[in-house]
Amino acid sequence: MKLFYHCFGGAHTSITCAAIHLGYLPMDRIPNFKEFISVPYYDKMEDKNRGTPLYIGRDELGIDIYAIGLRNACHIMIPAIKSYLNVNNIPSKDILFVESLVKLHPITGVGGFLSRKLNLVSIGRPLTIWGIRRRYSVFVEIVSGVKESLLRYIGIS
Amino acid sequence: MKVIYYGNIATYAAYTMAVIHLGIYDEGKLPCLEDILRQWELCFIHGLQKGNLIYMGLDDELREIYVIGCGRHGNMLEKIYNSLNVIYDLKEDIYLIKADIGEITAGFLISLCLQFPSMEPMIKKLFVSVYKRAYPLWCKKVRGEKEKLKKGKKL
Repeated sequence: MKLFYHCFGGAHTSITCAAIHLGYLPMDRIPNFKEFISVPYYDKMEDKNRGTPLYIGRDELGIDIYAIGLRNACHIMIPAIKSYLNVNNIPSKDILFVESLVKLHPITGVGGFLSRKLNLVSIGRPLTIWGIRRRYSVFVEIVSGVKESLLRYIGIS
Repeated sequence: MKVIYYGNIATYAAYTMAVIHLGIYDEGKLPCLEDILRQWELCFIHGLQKGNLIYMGLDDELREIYVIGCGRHGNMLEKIYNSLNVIYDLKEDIYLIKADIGEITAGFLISLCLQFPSMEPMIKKLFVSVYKRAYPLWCKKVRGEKEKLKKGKKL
């Protein structure tokens, strides 16, 4: 099974959720600046590569975790992905999508734009981290919800 | 091999190019008015449906032909599909063809008709005229893409 955390650019919130899921970032406290910087692929996705899924790792249940940026087209791209898998005889239940752009702090958006679009990394990156730290509990909530659902789902199947 | 025609909407340029590719429409001859009007209905009813990969048939070299409407996110779609091939280790090649000729005008006409349904007869006429103008361009593009496929380029 594969799980995709998706957001707008695939550089910040989806990476953060994937990192929390895999234990690169803690669930019980707000990580510091350095911990964010050391997360693989954090604030690295280039605008031209948007849409390319990044493999972040495999969790304790054996699920492959990916992060992907789908701009504001997830309502088009998710059915497109599922129908492509369908024509290749891959069951669509093999792939899960989790929206990680919920309750995005506006500062994260501004920081992401500065860093990824305008290439002002030194200004943009700290801003994204500042914004994500402010809403960190939301991401932890998303990931714990996902993990609980997965445990239940795998338990049933 | 899968050949996917993609455009803003699946029912206009992508659909027509796929149909030309499959040989259902003649390359040198315009489809009859009835067929064009049927396509108008198709655009009008299903034009807003995006993200569905629709199987159209097999071409003369047994390649599977598909169409998909993906808004303005064609480049992203290409990246996603190529990545999925790697992730799922799909051995079959895919070849994506951008079908955007005349799409802006068609999209405008459809939204105009949705806004002002009373203008439909006039908009239909405009649609037919735009379609007739775009048809040779679609044929030319399909011919070019078929040649590329034959030569094995851009696989």
